[in-house]
Amino acid sequence: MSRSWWLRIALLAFLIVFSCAILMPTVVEMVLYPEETEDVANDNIEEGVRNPPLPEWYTELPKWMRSKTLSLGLDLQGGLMLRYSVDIDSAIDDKLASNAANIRAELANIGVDLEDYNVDRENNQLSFIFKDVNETGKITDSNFLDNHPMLAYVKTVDRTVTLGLRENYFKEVEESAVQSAVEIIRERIDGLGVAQPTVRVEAGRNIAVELPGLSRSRVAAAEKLISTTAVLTFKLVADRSESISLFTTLSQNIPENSGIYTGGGTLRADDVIDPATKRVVSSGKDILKKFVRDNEKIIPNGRDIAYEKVDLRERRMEVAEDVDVNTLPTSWRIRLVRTDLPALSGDNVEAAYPASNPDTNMPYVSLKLDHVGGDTFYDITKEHVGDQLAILMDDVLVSDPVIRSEIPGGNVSIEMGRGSRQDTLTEVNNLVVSLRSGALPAPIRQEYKTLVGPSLGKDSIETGMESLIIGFCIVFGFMIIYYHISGVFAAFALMFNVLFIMAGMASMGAALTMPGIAGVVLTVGMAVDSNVIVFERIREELRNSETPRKAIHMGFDKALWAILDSNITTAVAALVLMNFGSGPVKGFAVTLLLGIIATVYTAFFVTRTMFELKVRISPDKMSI
Amino acid sequence: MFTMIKPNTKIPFIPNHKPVLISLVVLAFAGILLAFIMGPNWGTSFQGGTSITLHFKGNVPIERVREEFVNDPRFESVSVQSVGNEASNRYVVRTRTSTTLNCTKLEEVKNAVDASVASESGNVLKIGQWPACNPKVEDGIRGDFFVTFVPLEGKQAPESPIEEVKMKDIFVKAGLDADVSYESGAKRYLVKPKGIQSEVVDLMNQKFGDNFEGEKGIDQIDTVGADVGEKFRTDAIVSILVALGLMLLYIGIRFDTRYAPSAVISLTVTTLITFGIVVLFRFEVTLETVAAFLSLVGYGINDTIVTFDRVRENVGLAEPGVPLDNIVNKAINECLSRTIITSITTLGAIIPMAIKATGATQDFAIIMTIGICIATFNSIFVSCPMFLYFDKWFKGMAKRNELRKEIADLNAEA
Repeated sequence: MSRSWWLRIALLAFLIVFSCAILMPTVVEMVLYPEETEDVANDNIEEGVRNPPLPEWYTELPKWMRSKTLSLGLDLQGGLMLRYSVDIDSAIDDKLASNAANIRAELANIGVDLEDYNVDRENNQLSFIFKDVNETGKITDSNFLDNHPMLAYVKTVDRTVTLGLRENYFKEVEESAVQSAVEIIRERIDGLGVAQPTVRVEAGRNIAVELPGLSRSRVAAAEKLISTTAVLTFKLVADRSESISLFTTLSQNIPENSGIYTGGGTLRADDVIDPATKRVVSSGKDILKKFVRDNEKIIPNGRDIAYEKVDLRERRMEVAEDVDVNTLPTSWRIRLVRTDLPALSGDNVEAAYPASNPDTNMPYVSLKLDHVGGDTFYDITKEHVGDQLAILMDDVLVSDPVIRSEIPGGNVSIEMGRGSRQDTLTEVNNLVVSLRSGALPAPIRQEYKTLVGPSLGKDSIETGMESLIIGFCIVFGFMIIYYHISGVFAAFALMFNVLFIMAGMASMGAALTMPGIAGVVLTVGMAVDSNVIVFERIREELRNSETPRKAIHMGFDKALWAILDSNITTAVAALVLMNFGSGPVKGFAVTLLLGIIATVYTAFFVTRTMFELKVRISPDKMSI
Repeated sequence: MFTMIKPNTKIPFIPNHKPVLISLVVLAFAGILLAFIMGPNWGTSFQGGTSITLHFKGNVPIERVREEFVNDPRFESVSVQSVGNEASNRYVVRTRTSTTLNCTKLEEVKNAVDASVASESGNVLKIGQWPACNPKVEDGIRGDFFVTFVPLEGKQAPESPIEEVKMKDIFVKAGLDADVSYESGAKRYLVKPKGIQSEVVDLMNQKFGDNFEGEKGIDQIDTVGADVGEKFRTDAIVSILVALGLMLLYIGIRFDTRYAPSAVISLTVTTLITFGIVVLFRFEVTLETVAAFLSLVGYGINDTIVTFDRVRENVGLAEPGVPLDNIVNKAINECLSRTIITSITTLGAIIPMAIKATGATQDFAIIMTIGICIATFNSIFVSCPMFLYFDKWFKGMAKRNELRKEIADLNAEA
């Protein structure tokens, strides 16, 4: 036997073993836990506490082998799918209008009066009509324009200067807004306790959220949780002694076993170590929020509680000694902030970008506030030098820089302080993203929603599987009756084909949906086509009285391009579907594409190898 | 050997293609015409609206469900169908409404809220910020919105804001069932209207009581905004055109310029005839339908290419002087067996699904079944004759160019 022949056999054997290995976790799940109800699935089952327990040999397998299961799609399992679009156009409109008003005020400050100004929403342009033609240069001045990073000079006609939206601005804003919306949503749905939630960007500015297995009673809550727009606000961190006394009082009210921990310790270099300091820390923001709500009366007027994410593993000091910090991966602590100051919100932020200090090479965030915001900020910073600013996203404290001196002109630098350059850079970038999209009050709009109950999903699986099996039998039966032993070869090739498709889907982490099953059914029908083309060719060659060996050889060679061409063009359709489709349609496209690849492979390698083996055993007879 | 088509079969497809080709093209135009006259039955995802699958515990006849929805002014153009057999008590309700909060309603609510807030605060407060409503977008607004209240001119704002509970009451009385929460930092109220889902559940609970299990009675809900539906429609048409374009390109490169347009015309005819049938029999056009059409395009190109491959091979082998018509006819006959067998196996796989499945998947399978038959037919009667026409056209063009060149040469000499 030739070497290439052995290689082919080895490859096939490897693929089969590999596919089976990939699919094993799926089979184990299906066999052991066929009736997992929606509510059980929600309780984040940890390994080892499952009933019946996982077999020992299975738990001893390496983790990578167990991690990938072919999960059921939303339509089969039940659950909620939502798609949102980030409404950037209206946000840009608002920003343009406020920019125009600001520019007018700024010009008035330097003694330039405008006759009028217009906002052209259609072309995203602003035009300013000056009283004096000689003053038009004031606005086109590069120093002036640098303060308005979203605008670029377009043209001057007579006394009218037109400024337009900077070319890349829209794209930048779009990207950062969508990205941060995805982050926020991901964080929000974490608390829902759904086994495998996904949040992803679709078609540039759409956000798709899938919550498989979400019980129906929680759908409304989930929807509300997701669609609330995040609000960015600037506040001041309350005085330290005030915080300490309040937290001390609060910590006395912590109920037993509530999952809230306290401990003395330090958080920042400027925090004084005080054994009496009690910080309230919990692994879940929800728990903390509820606790704060229960103790609302203790919080004085003009003060509010903000929540800050902390990594407890780095802050062992924060927690009482007997608590195992490894069980608290991300924790939250509370901070006291002042709300009795002039409101300054994300609407006042005109631009936010990462910058870096030329002396220390440390990155920081540079902010440009609008006219009103700049004045307010100046007033606040003048009165509160040495205090900590609190930058909040919703009720989460994102950053708390110390005010070193009064800040005029609305140009704010936020230094992130400690940590390596890399960590600081990440922090800076995160804050810029949050500031930009918070600064841009881009609301998200629900585009569509699909909710599937679990009973409907179960019915779908049953009918889908039944029709798949019936279809299989029809195709097998036909091929075997028509092509005899060669038909059996084709049937084997078909089974490998389906095995490879399933394994491919499992390793890609794709979910099996109803359209996906339809894709498999269609592939089963069409995969036979490659075999039929070859078989018909072989028959022709046999009729031309070639020997079986030669006939097989010529049959496969002559059919090669017909099969490749036809499959590649079908793959084109599948690729288009993949780009067009959302959710279920995409599932169909993925199976179709995998099917095409598997078809070409099985037709040329698997069936051919079987034929060659057969010819070796009985060189004179063909059963086709 | 068991054979379907005897070897050396010589069915004269090409000599007799004209009437078949003409009727297929006529059918394709009829498909376009039908689509324009009757209009496709756009599903929820393509026209916006809501589709709800409900199931009842007890026996609730379809007429009663229909009655409740049709008589409720909140739901626009409602249709109710039963899913599966009658006894399952499972119904799909489709409506054009995707939110019950349209611009008119929002204006009514605004006026009512304004009035009650004024009286509540002793004629001090009025509405400051209220969501803008775009009447062009049929839905008006969807989702949550912010509301602020400002003092009337010359009045001093009250010290504390109106309580959340009271504000919620004001909204409910104004006709909008919503959750209201106050954001002290931004001094505004966040209004979260109850979605269409809660409204349907409330309505069903109220009308059918014990026969409806609240949230559990909802099997599936799809809600799509009207403007989004339109976008999906454009996307779907674009995706089919892109697929056809890319195939044109691939065949153009792999074969030549005579094959590519013939194949694409054949696929277009397949798509249009099938679409005509979809329109005529009022199939709901959904995202799954688009998937069906793209698969159909994929299947159709398969058929055509296998035949073309044979044509190309035979052209290379043919002795000089044999007319192309004969070569093509021979190629079709040689592939006929494969063409028919592949159709049979694919249909064999898909027909059980067309019978057993329900809803969108069943539609997908039925459309595929019809489309596969048409595609098989077209690969013989449209692709190949069109190839011959393009061949003649290109050869004619070449000849004309040659003549022109000769004339030009002669002129130059003279």
